[in-house]
This record gives sequence, C-alpha cells and structure tokens, in this order.
Amino acid sequence: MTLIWLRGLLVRRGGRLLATAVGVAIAVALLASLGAFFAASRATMTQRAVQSVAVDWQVEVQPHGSASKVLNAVRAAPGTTTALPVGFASTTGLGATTAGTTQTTGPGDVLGLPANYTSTFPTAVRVLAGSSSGVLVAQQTAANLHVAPGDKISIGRAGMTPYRVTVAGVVEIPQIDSLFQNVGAPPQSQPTAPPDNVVLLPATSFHQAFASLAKSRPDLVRTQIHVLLNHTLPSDPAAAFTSATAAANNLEVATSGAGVVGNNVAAALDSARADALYSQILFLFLGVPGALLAAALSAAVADAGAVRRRREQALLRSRGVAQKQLLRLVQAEAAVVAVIGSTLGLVAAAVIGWANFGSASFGASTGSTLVWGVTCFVIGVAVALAVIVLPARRDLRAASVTQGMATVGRSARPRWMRYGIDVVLLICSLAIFWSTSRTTYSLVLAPEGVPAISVDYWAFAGPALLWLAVALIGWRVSDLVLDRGRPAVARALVPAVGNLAPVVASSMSRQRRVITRSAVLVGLALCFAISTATFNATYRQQAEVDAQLTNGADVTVTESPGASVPPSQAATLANVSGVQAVQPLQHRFAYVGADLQDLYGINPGTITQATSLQDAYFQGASASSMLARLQARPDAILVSAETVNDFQLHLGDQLNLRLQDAQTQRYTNVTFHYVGIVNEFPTAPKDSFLVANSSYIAAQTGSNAVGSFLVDTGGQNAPSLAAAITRVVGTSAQVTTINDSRGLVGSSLTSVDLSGLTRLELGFALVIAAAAGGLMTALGLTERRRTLSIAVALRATSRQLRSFSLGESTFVAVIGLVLGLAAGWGLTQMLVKVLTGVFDPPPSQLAYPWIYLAVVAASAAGAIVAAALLTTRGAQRHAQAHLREL
Amino acid sequence: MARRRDNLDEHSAEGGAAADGLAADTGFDQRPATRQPTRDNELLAQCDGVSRTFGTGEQAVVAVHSATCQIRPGDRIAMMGPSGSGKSTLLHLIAGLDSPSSGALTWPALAESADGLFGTVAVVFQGASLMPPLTVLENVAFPLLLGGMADNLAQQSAAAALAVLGIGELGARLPEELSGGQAQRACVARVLASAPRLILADEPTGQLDHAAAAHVIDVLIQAADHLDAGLVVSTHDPVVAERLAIRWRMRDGVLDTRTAAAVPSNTQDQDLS
Repeated sequence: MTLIWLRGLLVRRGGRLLATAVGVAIAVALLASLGAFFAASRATMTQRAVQSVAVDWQVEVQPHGSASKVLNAVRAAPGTTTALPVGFASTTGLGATTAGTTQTTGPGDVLGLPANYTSTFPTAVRVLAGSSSGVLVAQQTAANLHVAPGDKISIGRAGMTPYRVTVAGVVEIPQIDSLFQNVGAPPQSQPTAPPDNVVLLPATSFHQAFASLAKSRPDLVRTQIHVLLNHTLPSDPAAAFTSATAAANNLEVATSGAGVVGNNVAAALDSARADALYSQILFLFLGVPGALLAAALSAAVADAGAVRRRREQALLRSRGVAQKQLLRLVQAEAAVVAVIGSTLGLVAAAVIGWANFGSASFGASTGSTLVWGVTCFVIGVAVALAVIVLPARRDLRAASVTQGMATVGRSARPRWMRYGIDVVLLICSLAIFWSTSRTTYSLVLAPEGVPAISVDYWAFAGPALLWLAVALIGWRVSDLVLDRGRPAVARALVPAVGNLAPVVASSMSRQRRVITRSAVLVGLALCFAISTATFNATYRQQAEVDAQLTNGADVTVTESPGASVPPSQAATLANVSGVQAVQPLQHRFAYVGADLQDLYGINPGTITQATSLQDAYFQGASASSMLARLQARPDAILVSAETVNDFQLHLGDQLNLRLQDAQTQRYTNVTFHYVGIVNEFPTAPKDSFLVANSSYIAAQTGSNAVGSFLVDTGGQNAPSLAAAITRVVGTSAQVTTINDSRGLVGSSLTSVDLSGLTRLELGFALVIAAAAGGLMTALGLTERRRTLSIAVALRATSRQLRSFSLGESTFVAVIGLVLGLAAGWGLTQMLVKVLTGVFDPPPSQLAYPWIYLAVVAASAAGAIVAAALLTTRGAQRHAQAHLREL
Repeated sequence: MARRRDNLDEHSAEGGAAADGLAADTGFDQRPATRQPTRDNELLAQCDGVSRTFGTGEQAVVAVHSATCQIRPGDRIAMMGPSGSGKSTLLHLIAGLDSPSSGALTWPALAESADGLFGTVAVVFQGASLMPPLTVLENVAFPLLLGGMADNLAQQSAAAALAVLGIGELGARLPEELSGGQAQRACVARVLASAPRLILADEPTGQLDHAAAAHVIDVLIQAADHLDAGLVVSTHDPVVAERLAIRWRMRDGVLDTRTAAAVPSNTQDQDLS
C-alpha cells in the first residue's frame, strides 16, 4: 500500500513533492555551503596567520645559558625545520660622512645574521637598494645617515672604537616590532616603538665587532635562535594556537630555562582564533537565519498542500484506513522529500563550494567533511519530518473527518495573537539589545595570551527575538488588514478588478491564513536579504575606511624622521599625472604633562580634499563640525578621550603643550585650546594623539616641516601612481598605498574575509526571496485551482480570472515588501550595533547596496506576479480537465 | 449582453416579491411570469455531427461520436447512459465550455458563438461546484458580478434566488458548512439568479439520496419552467429520467435521440421549500 501511495504521489503530485524538496534543499545547501565557507575560512585563517609570520620563534638565550646548547635543543625540538643563531648588540650610535657632511645618530641596534638568514626567512628583510648580502642598513637609518650602498658607516661600541663597515644594501624590515620585541616580557612591557637605527651585519663581521664587547659588557650583546617551524598545525586557529603554545612551553622546559621563546607564530594565531570566533558569530547571525528561513519555506510549501493532504486523509479514514497506516504513508512521503531534498542540497553546496572556494568539500579535512555533510543531511531529514509528519500527525489526532474535508474553515484568532506575544517578544528583543549595545559591552572576550576565549551568546537573543517578533507582528498586521480592513482592501482593489472587488476582498479575507503566510515569508526573506546585504556592504565600507585610516589616503608619502620638507613639496607631487589632490600633514611629538603624544598639524579647510574623515573618528560632533571648530580658532586642538579624562578638560579649556622649537631644539610651552575629542585620524596611532592647525604649529615652533603628504588618486590605480611618485621623491621618503593597507586589514585581528560569505548569502537571499514569492503564490493558487476552475466554468474572462490572482499576489507583494523593508532596516541596525567589534572603525552610517536590494525586491515581486499570471493561465488552459472534477 | 442584463435586472427587481411569496410555500407559481414568447422552431442549441476526441494517435479516445440533436425552449430532456459514455462531454460541448473536434455546434436563439453564451446557458455540475472561500450568497451573486452587475444589485438578486429555493437562511454560510442537498440547491439558485435560457445539469443528483435528488430535480424543472428555459439533465438514474419528457440515450459516445416518453412533468404545484 505504501509503495502504491508513493508511486501515486510521485506521478500525480510530483511537482508539489519536488517543491517541498527544493525548500529542504535550500536549507541543506545553505548550511552545507556555510560549512564549506567557514571550514575554508578557518583553514585559511590558520594558514594566513602562520604565513604572515617572518620568524616563527625567537628563542632568546638567557645570560646564564649556553647558545650552542640552546641551539641544539631547538634543532632537536619536534617541528623545527631550521634554526639559526642571530646576534643582537647595542650600538652607542652610528655615523657617516657623505658629500662633505657628517651625520650621526643616537643609540641603535646591530644584528649579526648567518649567511643563509635571508633565504631561510625571506619575508624578514626586504631589499630596497643594493645587495641582499653584506652590511645592510635599515631604510630609516640610511635616510638619517644620508648613506647609500657603497658608503661607509661607523658603528659605535661602548668603551671601544667605532667599527667601520661599507654599506652593501638598504633594506626594509617589515616586522621590525616583533624582531626587536622584549622576549619573555608581557605585552604591556614591550617597546612602544621599534629602534630608529638598525644595521644588519654578516655573522662573521658581527663576531669581529662585538666578540670582545660581549665579554666586557654581556648586557649589551645577546644571542637569539631564530626558528622556522614545519607548520603542521591543526586547521582550527584555536587548536593551532594551543598546539603552538604547548610546543614553545615544551622547548622552554627542554632547555631548562636557558632559552625563552618569543612565540611569534602563537601571537599570530592568537589573533586568528579571535577572527575564527568572529566568523563563528557571523555564521550564527547571518547564516542561521537563512537556513531557518529555508526550513520555514519548506514548511510553508508543505503546509500549502495541507488541505489536499487533510482531504485525502479524511477520505482514507472514511474508507477505514487506520491512523497508524495513515501515519506510515505520511512518513514515507516525508522520507522521499528528505532524501531528494538533502541530496539536492548537498550536491548544490558542493557545486557552490567548488565555484566559490575552489573546493567541493564541506570541511577542511575528510573527517570534518564527512561530519558536516552527514549533519546537514540529518538536518534536511529533520526539516522534512518536521514540516510533513508533525502537521499530519497533529491533524490525524485532532481533526475529525468532516474537519478534514474543510478547505477554508472559520478559525479563531491564535492564542499568541490574543495574548500579544508578538509585542512581548519585540519588547524583550529591544531590552536585550539595549543591554548588549552599551559602550562597555564586549561581544568577544579574547584576553591576549590567554588560551580561553569566549563569546557572550546572550547578545544573539536580541536579533533572534526580533526575527520572531517581526514574523508574528507581520502576521498580525496582514491578518488585521484582511479581516477588519476588508472594506478598505475592496476599495483599494476597485481600480484593478472593478465590480469584483468586494468578492475578491471577501475571498482574500477568508483565505487570509494562506495569504498571510505567503506575505510573511516574503517579508522575512526580504528582511534576510536586506539585513545581510546591508551588513556586508557596511562591512566592506568600513574595511575600506580602515584601509584609508591606516594608510592615511590613497597614497601616502611619509618623509623620513628628521627630514625637513616644506609644504610647497605638495605642488611638486600634485604635478604627477593622475594625482587629484595633495594635502600636507605635519607630524610632531608633544608633551602633554609627562606624556609624549603624536601631534598632527592639518589645514582643516582643505584636509578632506585628500582623505575622508568619518564622523566615527570624532566624539560629540560630526567630522565637519570638528573641522569647523579647528578652523574657527587658530590655537584650537582636538585631543583623545583619554587625555580629556586624565586632565579633566572641558570644552574651551586652555591646554599647554611642550613642543620642540626648530631653532633651539628645545621643548617650549605652546598654548592651545581644547575644542573636541578625536578617536581616530589618518596615519595616527590607536592610542592618544592630538590634532591642531598646521599654521599655528608652524608659527609656534618655527618650522613648517611636513611629516607626510596625503595623496588622493580619485580611485585610480594607486600602485602605478605610487610608482610615479616614488620616481619623483626617490628613496628619501616612503611611499605607501591603500592597497598595502587593504592587505594588512584583510589579515589582521577582528577582520574576517567576508567576500565569500557575502557572495554565498546574497545568492541564497535572492533565491529564497524569489522562491518565497513565486513558489508560495504558485502553490497557493494551484491548491485553489478548484476555485479558478469554477470561475472558468461560470465563464469568467481571462481578465476576471487574473483579477482574482493579481489581487492576492499584489497584497502579498505589498505586505511582504513593507514588512521586509521595515524589518530589514531594524535588524540591520541591531546587527551592526551588536557586532560593532567586527567593524574597525565602527560605522557612522550604514551602506545600503541599493542595486542589489532593488534586484531582490524586483525578483520577489516579479516572481509573485509571474507565478500568479502563469498559474491563472494554467488554470484556464486545463479548465477542461478540471471541469470533470466539478 | 444587453438582453441578458435586461433579464437579470427584471429578475432582480422581482426578487423581493419572490422571496416574500416563498413564505406561502407556493414556489414559482406565485411569481409573475417572466417567460418570453417563443417560436416553436426557436433552437437554443443544435448539434450536427458533433464529435469530441481526446488525445491523438493510438492514445485517442472518442468521447462523443457524431452527435446530432436539437434543444428548444421548454424541452425537458434526460440524457441517460452509463458512466463514461460521454454524457458530461456532450453537455460541456453544448454549454460552450468545450469545443468539438468535428461537426457543427450552434446556438441560433442565443448567440453566434460560444463566446457569446454568457448568461444564456448555465450548468449545474455533478458535485457541489461552489467556490470554497465565498459564502453561499456571494457564490450565487458571482455570475452576476462577472456579467458586470453592481455588487449591491447582485447581492439582492442572489438573496432572492436563494429565497425562491428556500435556502435564504444559508446565505452567510460557507460551502463546506452545507449538506450535499443544500449545496446543490445553492448551485441551482446560482443558475436561477442568472436567468439562463438553457439549463444543463450534469448528474446533479449523483451524490444525493433519493429524497434530496427528487427535490433537486423538482427545483430544476420548476426553475426551467419559470424561465421558459430548455433543460437537459444527464443521469443514469431511471427515476430521475422518468421525471423528464424527452429521453436521450448515450452509449460509447453515440447519442440516440429517438427515445422519447410522454412523461407529464407537472411539478409546478409541488412544494419547493
């Protein structure tokens, strides 16, 4: 009997079964695709984090330890690929005589590198000029000493004569901060800035220069073992972090404390695991609603056939079929849908994964692929059972045969509507949102160096409850409009359907459960699309802002410290072809009390010609207001919130800073007036800094020297323009582009590559919105083809038939669009606020991808109208066959 | 269309009186005559060698084979035959709801083509062919609305038709809240409201018990008499067939119109309630 039933279902109701299976398939495909994305993303995060490290371990040999023993221990440690000894020595200063002038510097650092160091650690040193072997000088040092390859420099040694060498090359040390870290010291004890003066000597030269000093002053010479690991780490960044930390601890134990590990790879993974957790959060916030929505779509599709199913069950029951047998038939139907839907979903996910991430698997390893694939399949089965078996079981137990035959029914208002559960949910959602969006709230707790990392999942309750509230409120509004607002609906329909308006409105009113379900589903699908798309667009916008904030502008020309370049240089740069605008940015240091802070001098009237300033950079007023305040008063100054708190400043207060006078080189008092708080500024550090008028600073210090030039390229190819600018400024200044910053932003803490997720979610959102609109309308009308057939038999014209279906579909489209827009806007606001930690800097305004949103709305509305018209046309075409059923 | 509107307006204008008259349980007898003078040879429908074939090639099924017949005002025809003999197909053809595969089908007194049959030919289907989401009153008014009548006038006419059939109190109910007999009477009321010249009933008693079936046939005959319409009822029930003067037989798609019986259809005095 079950087989006969199934065969009949497949032959007669194949379309409906397939439609339900498609809903299941969308849910499974979305989950599996998200699994593929996050697996790939996590694996990439670990890979990217490890690859970003130039030297995996810097094992510092302790004063009481033996360098050779530590080196042997490191080489014997599991996972070590290469270990090289590197000498570190402190120099009293560097000097050089070029072109008849002598330049000297303050204290610096000298490194002794083995011959194969640069080939073993290729990203540790980047050659800018000259050779990659021999004596290498850091770019800033070369600029300070005015030396180039071939010039001679002297290296000061404490209590000894200077050591003279010939420069072979000028290099950049990209990870100078970690290279000169204070190994073993906590983060707060690390140097605030890397050394300005660095010379890299071949190991033999280093030995000649500092062997005796090492004996007389062992505090000035030390040895580190630089290690390259084999990087066989777990793909999960958190597990990789634990593994890398344990390996380092193991080595320290093995050397009995003679070697302390500067674990650069673990530090990078520490950031990556926080990123991984953010990606997990994004999965929950952005992915799960989509999967639930697809499941709801399946449920709605299945429910659209509930009347037919109830009638068939009632018929079978009246013919004496037992409830158990009926349930078995329903279970068989669910099993068919589950297998077809889950299989289709997994295949679709594999194709999507292959197209998007270059891999058809759903995990980083075979095991995780299997687990994730099986999990998604089981979820598909569960969805199918939940949407088909549960309602059927409920009907079988609760409904009589007569009730089963009913197609419309008069139903009382559901309990949730009577008790106002929707409003309660909304209030709860807003209350939770309020508590989790306060400024002191932190979604992800990732204490530096601590293995445990946690997420406050309570924050998820706000959006989750908002989803529920939106669905129920949408249902209430639609129900109210169709029930109490029937006369108004009829009046609104008159222009489209003429004298049939009252009867069309009545029909809609009595079928409001079906129509409302479609409208709410369309609304939620649009809400998902809008919130996801807007969140992702805002994320991209902020990543771009972050990149510009880090670099300063599209292209930034940073002058070497000590160089005195006048603002007039801007005119030279402006002449480079393709440059749209150039703005000079002064950079000085100023004492605020005993605290030394960066001071930036700008022209507030023109600074925005070369860079964009976001409102979020400032506190208490917009960017334009702050610039206006600076412009209004020459001695105006913007300070950090921390400084305001420390010095209990009030707007208009006088602030005395000590600035270095260009003539006397002494620090003198300069009076400013506090006019506002600045949190972020192009090229400025994260901590405290100051922003003032450049003309005032120049007048007070006697120097108008510029720290950097911000160059606007008008969105053109920044690297090629940077190359052109480099040809103009030579090696005296460093030219960086926004592209360099994009690379840094894309692989730093609190940043997750959303581009894959964006493509995935926007695609699914589009499919779900169109499916919700088209499928629901088509199925709803197909289910009511009897009504249409009767209308055909009563000689309704095509236009009159269309008026019936268009009345419904227009209502579904309008309610769905209004609900989707309102809920999408609200949910996006909530998501962006709750997920503030993902954004750096926080957005001052949302970025709406209007084109995509218009496409989604048009697709949903188009699918609804097309489905209505096609279904009506189909009803007319097959009216003859249906006449026999009347 | 103008003629139909006239009929409908005329009928609706009298609806109130008809409903009032129902209180005396005298049915159509108390209604003023709406019958138009007709000529004996005025043909409502004429089939000349009409055939209807479904499918093509080896799959082809001939449902109606070269049927020839005529229907005049006042004709009371029972079309008999077993299930699957082609009765429904022929009725749908005569109603203009389907097109013949071959042969000529005309409605000389009604319209030039099937497209013009609105309001002149009405069909009562085998099952309860009421639209589920509309109340009984709205269902009965629906064809009038399709014809362009204003909503309030259509409602009045529908209420009058329901009252005539004695089910005025069911107007607010949904079809699924009616019994089979009530639903069929509502369908007849829908026919009555649109005042057609030709009533075609496709096994209207197929799902009813004897008492309900007899009542529905009474109602159909009285409605046809009242409208001076032709009436064709397909049935395989001899009891039903005996109520009608003319009997056609249908077997394997072949129509035999030679069988006729002079059965008095004096049902006008019966109680319609």
